[in-house]
Amino acid sequence: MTFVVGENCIKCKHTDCVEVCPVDCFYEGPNILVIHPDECTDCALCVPECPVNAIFPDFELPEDQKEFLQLNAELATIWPNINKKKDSPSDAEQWKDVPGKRKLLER
Amino acid sequence: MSQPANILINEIDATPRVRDALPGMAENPVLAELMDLPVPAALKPAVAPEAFAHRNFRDDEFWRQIPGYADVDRATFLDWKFQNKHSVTSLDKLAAVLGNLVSPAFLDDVRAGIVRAPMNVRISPYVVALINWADPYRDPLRVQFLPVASTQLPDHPRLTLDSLHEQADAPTPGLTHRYYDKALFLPLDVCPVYCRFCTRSYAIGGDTDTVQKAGLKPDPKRWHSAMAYIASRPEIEDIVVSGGDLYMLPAKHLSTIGHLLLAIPHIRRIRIATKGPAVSPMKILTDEAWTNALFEVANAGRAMGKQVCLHTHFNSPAEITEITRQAMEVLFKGAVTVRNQTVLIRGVNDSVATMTELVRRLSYMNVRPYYVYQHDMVSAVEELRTTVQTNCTIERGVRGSTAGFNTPLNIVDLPGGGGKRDIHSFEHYNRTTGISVYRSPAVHSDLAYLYFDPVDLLPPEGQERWARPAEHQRMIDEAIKAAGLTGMPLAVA
Repeated sequence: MTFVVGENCIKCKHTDCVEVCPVDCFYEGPNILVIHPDECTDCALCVPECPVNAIFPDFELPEDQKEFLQLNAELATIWPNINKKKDSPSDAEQWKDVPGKRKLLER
Repeated sequence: MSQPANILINEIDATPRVRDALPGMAENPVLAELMDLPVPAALKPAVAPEAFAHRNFRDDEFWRQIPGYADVDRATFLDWKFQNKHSVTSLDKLAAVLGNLVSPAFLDDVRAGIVRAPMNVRISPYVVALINWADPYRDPLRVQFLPVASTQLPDHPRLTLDSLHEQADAPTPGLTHRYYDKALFLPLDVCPVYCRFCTRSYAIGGDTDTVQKAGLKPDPKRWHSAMAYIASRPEIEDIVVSGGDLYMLPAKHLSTIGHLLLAIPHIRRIRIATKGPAVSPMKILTDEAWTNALFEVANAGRAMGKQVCLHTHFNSPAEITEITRQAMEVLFKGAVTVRNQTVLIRGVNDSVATMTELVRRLSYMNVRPYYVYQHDMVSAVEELRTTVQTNCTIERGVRGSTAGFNTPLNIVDLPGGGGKRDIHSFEHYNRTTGISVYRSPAVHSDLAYLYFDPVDLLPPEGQERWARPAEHQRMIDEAIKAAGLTGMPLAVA
């Protein structure tokens, strides 16, 4: 199994998760983070760190976010690694829990 | 100069002096006044250099012989994140790292072994690099961390998955309260490596083909529930924090958990149990935030008159290198007491010679050898268990080889939740059926506990009786009767 970053990370990207990951398996895109499934150890440390509850174990990924399993796997091999927290986007708060963010994911 | 005087000088020169015994120390100001003193005549023969093998800590770049790590420099290999991130977690990763060091037949054997295993594979580069891949079947580290199908034996007929009944004694998930004044707290369920013989294979690591795990995720709400129970039980003075492994928690969580426990007034002693120093000792050297958090919690405890100790899990002298020695030195200089708990494993440390070397090595690093455990009755690792008799033999051989405070207690953690008992303290032990009977009056005064030797190590008569299910209860009844405990209920019926 693996943990998966879901839709709610889009345009929030707080990066608290990357500080606790014992294997540095987060990768950073323009407006979302993803987890490399081959590197994730299933430790779950990142889950409670996320201020917007965007991280799920693969078997608990909401039905309408199933495609994020594949998106994480694909984008983690393209994007650069991130292991230090950085400032959240200035408008992160207003994007929290906004439905339909999937179409805003930038590659 | 006269002749007799010359003879006298020659005689003096031939007498061993302290300076001969301590070459290179002639300039030491403290020892200066001793240097010319004659050494008293020895009553014992000189010790052969081989006897000091336990002081030789390998300091070569041993990982370079592994094709996957051939280009890894020392600084990178010592980086704890490198160890975490490049751990081998699948057969494909293993094959890629080892290249042509192993045969396709061996990899097939591993593939078949993984299917039956109750634990995921997870092996740090440090451990991968210390395995002798020219002879992997007999390597003590391979035996511990990488299953192969060809050596596997059927489970003992009396085996259960959570043999220590930790779940039955848990008032809240991840908190086991069995002994009167002690509790076991499991903050998470991942480790830096997965031991094949994990006694918590019911919970630790991810699901495997054969076991769905109970799951103990690092959830602060669950931690608080455990703290709430601990706070409500004034008899609890001792907390063992295990897992899973705090080695995998970031410094801030180590700090939070440590300070919460220290703040509970009746808690006097905290033990952090970790496999980490045995499999990834460089973390102590390169994860400064984590090591400092450990020191900070230990120092806060000391200021409150409370102990914070580390319990490690070294099983083989082959796990210990110069990296380990340096890491243990950092902990010693930081005034953290380190004790070691070894599991007695067939093919790893089941001889007096190996166990003596391990004990001496640990002692040399100021790690106190604390326990040698009889291997728990764990599924799918029957070939790793050995007999109670072997444990008794090792205890007799090791005790007396070094100081008592550095001599481990050889114990069996009784199946059914009886706790740890001196291996020699059985009420009865039948070496033919391999059944030993123990009692644990301070834990449960009215129960009898049984341990079962692996069947393949019994004499033919014992093996033949275990081959017939109708004999099983009869053998147990015989043992209970011989122990003088007829009628006493068994902890595991």
